[in-house]
Amino acid sequence: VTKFYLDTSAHLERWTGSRDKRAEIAVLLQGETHATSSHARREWKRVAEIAAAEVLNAFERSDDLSDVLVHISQLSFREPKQALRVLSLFVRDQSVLDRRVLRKARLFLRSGSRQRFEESVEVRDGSECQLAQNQVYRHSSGSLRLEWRCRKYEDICEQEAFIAARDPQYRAVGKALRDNSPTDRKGDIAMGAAAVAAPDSPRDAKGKVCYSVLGDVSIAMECGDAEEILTTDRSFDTIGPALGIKVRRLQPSP
Amino acid sequence: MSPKTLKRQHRKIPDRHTVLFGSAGSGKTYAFAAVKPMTQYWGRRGLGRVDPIQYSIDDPSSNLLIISQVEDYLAAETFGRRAVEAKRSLQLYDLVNQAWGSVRAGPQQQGAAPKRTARRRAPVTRKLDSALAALHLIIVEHKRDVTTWVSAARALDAAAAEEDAKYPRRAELATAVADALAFTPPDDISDSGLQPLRHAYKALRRGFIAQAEEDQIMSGFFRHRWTVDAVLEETDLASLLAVESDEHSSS
Repeated sequence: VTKFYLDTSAHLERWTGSRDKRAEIAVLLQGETHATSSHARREWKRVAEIAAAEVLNAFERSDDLSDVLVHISQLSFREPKQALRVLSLFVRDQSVLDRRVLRKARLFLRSGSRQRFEESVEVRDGSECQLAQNQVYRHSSGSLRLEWRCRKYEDICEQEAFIAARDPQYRAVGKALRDNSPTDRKGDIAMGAAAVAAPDSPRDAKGKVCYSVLGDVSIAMECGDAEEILTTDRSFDTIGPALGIKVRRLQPSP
Repeated sequence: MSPKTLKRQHRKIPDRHTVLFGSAGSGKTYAFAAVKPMTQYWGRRGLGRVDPIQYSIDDPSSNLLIISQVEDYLAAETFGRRAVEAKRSLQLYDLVNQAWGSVRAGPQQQGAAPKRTARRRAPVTRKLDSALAALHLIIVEHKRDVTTWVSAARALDAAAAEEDAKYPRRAELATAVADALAFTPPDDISDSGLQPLRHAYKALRRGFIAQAEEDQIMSGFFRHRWTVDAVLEETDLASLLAVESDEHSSS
């Protein structure tokens, strides 16, 4: 039985993908406990829990689902379809927001998000990322929020030690991404440059660089030798070989 | 079963019925079989007249099953649906005598009063009552048709809407169970896969559902591969995105 190491995209496909994609992943994960990273949890929370919080916030302003869609699309999605798929965690059909949707969103924030993410999956947290531990809270303005950003000068994780312990891996992955990525993958090239520089200046690899640039590299660092990364993200086509890790890249849901 | 619940069972049990009920005490769970004909009211006086035979049960999963079914029995009795009692109670008796090889005489004397434990209950409204009855058809009578499942989902949805203000956690669980029933084809679920529904059935009779219990139910759904969320396919996305873009262009 293959033991997989799930990237954030695999988590999202597992729970919000098309019917066929969910079934495909369920078969792959059947009968084994797999693994993932706290950086994937941080990204999952940023996508799924913010969507739930925005559903609840939006109910205060409007009963129109498209308002929520527009809002969360601006926050953390490359295209509206992704935002819609995440909304399928709460909506039953293309209806207006109603209290039924709110009940699902509340349950999701209380336990559903954590349970889905951890279902048959062990979470590795070498960098002790605080953002991955943050919970949605009610801000003084009355709206629900999740702190998904940090500053590099905040000492709220062990990312510097995490990078220092994996100096050669960061350099190898960074060089591969920087030099071998297709020219249209600008994000991967930037990720490579940041990964190469990280061991020399670990503090600069924290904060925004960590949560918005180096995510996939940080995720891959804790994948075991006998495990296979499960993802839909093309950046792992370069990251995996550089670390000597097998990658199973699925096509994303249409 | 809380003492209050037991005391509330002022319903007449017909003659020659076998009744089982469960109770947690002394770190063990017991099932009690009352095999003598009962003509007395169940309740303050009833337990003394029933002469329960007590068993301790080694298999915790069987405990859950039997207690769940016993509570179903009592719930059915409470709300006046007696039609299936005789048949079901005999089935329960068979469970004790045949399916449980490990059942043995318990440490207490026959006829001893069961130890009662307190559990919080909340009033069951008419809609929730209907929803539980619909759920009952699935978990006890093993109805495996789409109509029954969808109808149970609708009943749970209606109950959740009514419960939302006063018992939000119960309402949220009812909604989750409704979705699980609405989105999962009955044929996809084995008999053991019904376990989270049995737990939910018990939990929904309480106003507040503890976190651990909620976690157990929801993780049961995931473990047994229930589909608990909607699946939006390309056509759904296209229609919704079209609505959105129309709105933007008109504005």
